[in-house]
Amino acid sequence: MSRKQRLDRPLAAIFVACRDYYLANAKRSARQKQSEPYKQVRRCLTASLRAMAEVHAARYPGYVVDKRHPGYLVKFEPPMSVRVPYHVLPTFPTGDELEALWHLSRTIRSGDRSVISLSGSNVLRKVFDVVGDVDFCEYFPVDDTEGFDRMASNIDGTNRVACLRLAFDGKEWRFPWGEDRPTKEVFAKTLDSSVQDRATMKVDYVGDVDRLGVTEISNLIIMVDEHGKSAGFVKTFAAQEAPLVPIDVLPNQMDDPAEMGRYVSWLINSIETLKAKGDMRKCLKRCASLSRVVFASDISDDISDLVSESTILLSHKVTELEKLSSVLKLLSDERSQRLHGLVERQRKELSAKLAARGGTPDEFACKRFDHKAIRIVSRLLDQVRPGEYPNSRRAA
Amino acid sequence: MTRASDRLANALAIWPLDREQVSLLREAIAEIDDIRADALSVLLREAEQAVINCASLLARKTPREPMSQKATHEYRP
Repeated sequence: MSRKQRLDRPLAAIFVACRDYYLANAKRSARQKQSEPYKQVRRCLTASLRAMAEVHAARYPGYVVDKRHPGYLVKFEPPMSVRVPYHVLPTFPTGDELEALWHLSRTIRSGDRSVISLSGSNVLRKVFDVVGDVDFCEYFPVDDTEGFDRMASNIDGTNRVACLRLAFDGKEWRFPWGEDRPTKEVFAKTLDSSVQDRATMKVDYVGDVDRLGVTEISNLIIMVDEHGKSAGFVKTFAAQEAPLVPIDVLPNQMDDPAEMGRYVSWLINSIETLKAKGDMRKCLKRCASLSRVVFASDISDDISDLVSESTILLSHKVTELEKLSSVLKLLSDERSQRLHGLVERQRKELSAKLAARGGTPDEFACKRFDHKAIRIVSRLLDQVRPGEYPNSRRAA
Repeated sequence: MTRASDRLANALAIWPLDREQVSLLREAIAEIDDIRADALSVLLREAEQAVINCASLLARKTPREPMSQKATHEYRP
């Protein structure tokens, strides 16, 4: 056994234990966090995350280890403040791109008291060179009455960012807005941190963003009460969020075995669902998140190789731009028409780039990509879900 | 490379990091001073020990036994 492999299996065993714990306790209102193995796993996660954060801080000038949140590093570069999980730091946006995303977050943020984070595969932007959209996640305190004003005015967007859809409480509204457009009073009356359907609101935008071009933007707003609690937390995961505000205490902690187990469990379920649907592109994104967080380094490398050699992601982005273009084309207002023109220009540029790399992947290329992706999925699930997958073996 | 950075490189080598992380951290090791390198080595060794101890503890329990004793009846292997 090589020296490098010595911690592979012990680490895998620990993440498997986190998932087991979460599954066994997910439906309990008061989780049993008193057992010695639970405490030991937490100590182990804390030590590992803290050490990894310290090591990564050495490479990234300006970032310092966040002592209160194991695994996070913080950077304060006025007016910007970011907090990044260590495992996404190597692939986290930097320089002008980060600044553009930070400014975008201020455009769509619901008031000055909310905690807005970059979320999902955005934190791995550099692995997936072509990312479909920009996702934010925002924790909004429901006692912030001024925030509801801002929420309502955000629907108007700016001259570069257009809000096209919002959804909450089982209903949705689309631009151009009708007379039933939600008002601040409707937000204040309906949104409720204690009721799952009313504890979250999804807002979709299209924006012309510096360094990124025209892109789809989403913001998942989670209502939190005065104690920071919410029924909407089920839709968020600490390990894939990078807060863009200088908040003192994060709602979720990465070194909580139950929280880590919930994230691993969600990723596994999502990977299986996407694989069953045949969406191996998106499935691979989830795999990249999972392999990074559980230290499955060989798999992370294989995903990176597959993504860089294939044109599947680029081709998908061209298709997405075609869809967006057709939506904007139908809207007659000046802003939508301008965005449509920009999308068309971007689509043509990407199409030319795709043509230079051999054009839209044919059926054979798609099958080959899928086949390689499926093998990656099998190996990853074999590590994080031993005994539950064909040809699996125990991690420890 | 100094002996301190050697020690850090060795302490880090046991962690399964991907290519990109390894490449970035290799650059970092070459740049940091001996005092910091030694402090990081100690931290990594402590974390390594915590991982090994924890994995041993989990292995001593039955393979699918959850961490919460009270949840055993709900556990679905």
